[in-house]
Amino acid sequence: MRVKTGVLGMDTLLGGGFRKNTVNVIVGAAGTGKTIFALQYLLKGVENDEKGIYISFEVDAKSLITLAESLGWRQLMKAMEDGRIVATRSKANMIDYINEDLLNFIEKNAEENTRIVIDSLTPLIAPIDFSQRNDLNWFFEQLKANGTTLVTIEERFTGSLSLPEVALPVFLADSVIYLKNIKYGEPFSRTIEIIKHRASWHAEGVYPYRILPGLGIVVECDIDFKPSDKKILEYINSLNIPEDLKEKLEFLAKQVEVTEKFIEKVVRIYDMEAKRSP
Amino acid sequence: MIWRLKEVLRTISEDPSIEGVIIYRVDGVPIASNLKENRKILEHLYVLENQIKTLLSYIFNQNLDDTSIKIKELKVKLYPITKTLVLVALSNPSADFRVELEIKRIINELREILLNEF
Repeated sequence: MRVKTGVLGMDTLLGGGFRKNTVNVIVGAAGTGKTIFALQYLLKGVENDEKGIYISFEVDAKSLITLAESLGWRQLMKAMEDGRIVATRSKANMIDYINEDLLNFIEKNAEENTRIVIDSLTPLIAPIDFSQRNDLNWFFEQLKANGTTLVTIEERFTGSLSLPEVALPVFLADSVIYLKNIKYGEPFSRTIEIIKHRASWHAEGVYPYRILPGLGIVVECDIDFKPSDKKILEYINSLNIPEDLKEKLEFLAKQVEVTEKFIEKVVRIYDMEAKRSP
Repeated sequence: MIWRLKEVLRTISEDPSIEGVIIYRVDGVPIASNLKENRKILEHLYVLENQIKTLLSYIFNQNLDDTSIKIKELKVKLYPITKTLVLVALSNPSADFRVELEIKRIINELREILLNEF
């Protein structure tokens, strides 16, 4: 079962949404829409009657409500007022402190199918270096135990994704979505790209998106994610190939659309390698 | 929008002298492409990716209509579509003037798609 993102067009690119109990990172420079993405994620939870937890190190609940109001999301504002979404501004400023107040807060408020948002994680991990990979990994594991988390990470103006405070969460997360805005106001000035999505199919390439009042982020995903036609499964079944290969091809065809030509190519490569093996 | 762009690219990439067409954004990110199944093109694409930002900024800063470079036997021609998007056509030496005219025609078609659907 997938956790819907709440962002129009995004679930198609993710093969249905986020996987449950995962940590999903949104990377982007200032003004690309990371917080709006996070709020849409929480709003979807409200619509599904799921608890939401919003954690920030810079923004308080009042500012969030103001942002939700500007986008016309009254349901979200109401959920924050009546406790279905709990928001906190944490004071933790070094990764060594995360196992105290922050995790206690999450554990105390989490229920089944909780949506957790940390927006953004950068102030907490800005002084991190690669030697603290285990600490961050441990923190991510605690988040997974409590719900499905969305973490936003700020991209520096230099545009480098190789700095530890960006690279480490990107390496450790289950999925990474990259928002880019080159600020020309033209088609494709704002694009979204899925860099990784563990244990799941995801769309490749960049897709344009817009931020619209009422709707929030809308991604133009003009791909038709669907499994293969039944005829392809019949074709695979008719092939004179080893059973383990047949099983793998059937699994593939049920996940994504493939053609007979592609299946033939795979079988040809398999046969070629089988002949070369001692 | 992307599938409509790809449909337009497909019409030009069917020409035997065209090895591939790619729409790049000004920061070097490929937006849409249609490439023939030719493994040799890959090594040219690696070279192109390293050069593309420099070439694009040259086109936009100098306000050029188009520019071209050669990578071994491959001719690479760059045509600006909008302020931030450029069409790159990879062609072999047999490409003639008709291909060039066809490319200029589809630039107008691409502009229409990009500006109307936005």
